[in-house]
Amino acid sequence: MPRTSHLAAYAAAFATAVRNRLAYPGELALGCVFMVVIFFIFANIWPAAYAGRDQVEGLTLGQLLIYLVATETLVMSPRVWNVIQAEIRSGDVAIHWARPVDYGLWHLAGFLGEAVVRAPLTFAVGAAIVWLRMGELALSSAALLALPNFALALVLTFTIELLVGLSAFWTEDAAGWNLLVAMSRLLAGGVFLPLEMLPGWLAAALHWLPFPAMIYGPARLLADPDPAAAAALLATQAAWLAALGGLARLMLAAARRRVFVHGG
Amino acid sequence: MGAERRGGLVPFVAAYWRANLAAAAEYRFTFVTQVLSMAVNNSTWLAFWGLFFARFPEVRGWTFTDTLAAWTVAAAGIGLSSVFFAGARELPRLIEEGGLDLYLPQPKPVLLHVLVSRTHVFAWGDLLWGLGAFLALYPWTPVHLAAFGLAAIAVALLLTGLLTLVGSLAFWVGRSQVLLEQVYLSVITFATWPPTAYSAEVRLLLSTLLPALLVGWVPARLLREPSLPLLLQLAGAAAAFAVLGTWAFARGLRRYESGNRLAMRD
Repeated sequence: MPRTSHLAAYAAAFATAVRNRLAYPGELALGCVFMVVIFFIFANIWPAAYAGRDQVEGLTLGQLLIYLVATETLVMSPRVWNVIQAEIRSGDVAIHWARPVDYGLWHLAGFLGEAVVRAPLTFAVGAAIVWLRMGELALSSAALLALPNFALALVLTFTIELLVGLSAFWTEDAAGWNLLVAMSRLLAGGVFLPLEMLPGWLAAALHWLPFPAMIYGPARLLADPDPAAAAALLATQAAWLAALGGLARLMLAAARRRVFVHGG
Repeated sequence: MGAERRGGLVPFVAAYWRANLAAAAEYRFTFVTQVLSMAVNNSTWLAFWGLFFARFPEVRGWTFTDTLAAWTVAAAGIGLSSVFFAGARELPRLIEEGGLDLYLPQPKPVLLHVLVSRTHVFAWGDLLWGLGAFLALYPWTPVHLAAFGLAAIAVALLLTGLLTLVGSLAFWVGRSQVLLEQVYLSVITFATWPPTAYSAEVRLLLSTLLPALLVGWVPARLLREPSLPLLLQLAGAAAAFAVLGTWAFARGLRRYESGNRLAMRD
């Protein structure tokens, strides 16, 4: 099949995911309840923690709150590992492999379709609550240079989700691995505490993991835009994407030799 | 007859709990992985709080020691609720999909049957972690043991009652599973973050409509400074939510209509 039809298939998967997410606006709105809770907590806890300090590790309170809105935007990205696990358990994965499109790219298209709806909504909710609480938003137009980093961060997030989901070929349930990844992301990704606020030796060690490139790096750029840092982060993200994407390819190839569909 | 029925309920519930554990532990590797990963999850959260309070020693008087106490009791209570009464979190789905049809013809109280019919494997991790944290970090005096045990049971009862109350909304408004999950996550999140940063009005809300402080702050105070009046307040709140949840379910059940849907019991 010509490559253009593959692209059309991925575009259709992307568009379908967007339409699915927008199909039930009530449910979308209800899903914002927890976002409001989280951002409300941040907007109260951190001013109390700063207790009048101008800066902590180079971040003003306003910058920190924008940083946290950005980390939550990335963390609240769509979940795909459970979909992949369900397809593996039910045998539907074999139907997907029979299609002339790449399994990983197909799911990536759907993931990004959902992400383009959820991410702006999450960011808007968080920014609104920070603005209501602080009376201002520490965000400039220079932060737009972080957009490519955000895009790559989402693709990296998907790759990790794919790896977790594919583990279901070997374990009965990937939920435990997902929880371990989530916890690693929380600490190493600086979700609630920027890495510069950790002990130096710990922050240095955590930078060897992919999570700082997935979450901490893009969020830090948004709070404190720096073109040189953005370029360096892009290179790091690309390297991690190559490594983790390659691992996913190997797992898929091994899984194809391993899958057993009972039929019926 | 009355004595027989009461005696019948205890073996019935005990049999369900045994069956739930046996089903959950059938796949040993998965069971152990999920229990351990929840324990790792809770430990990671405490590591985060340790790092946070190392940088910011207190949040308007709330310290790491308070967070540790809140997590110890909250984890045990949340674990108890989801190990023994996990059906509460499935209530909206059962109501919306006609899943109550399975329970209605059974000769046991419908709500109790629904509540005990499931267990969440991850919750075993919460329960064991909470218990382990208490045994490792707090004195084993009769007073502390009683405070921990009774507080954890009260938290479990309160959470189960709250989930039953919110879940029963599905009898009146459809598709409330998402709402229930949001309420559950919100309560747990507010319960385990420092409560001293909020205004008095917010704390009042978090002690009533969204009773997160009754899941975190009050049990933490009980554990650090056991007090009978405080325990009675917590027990009273837990009983109130249990009664409200039971009442809401009973009222809603009168409106329930079977969907005549054929399905395997899951």
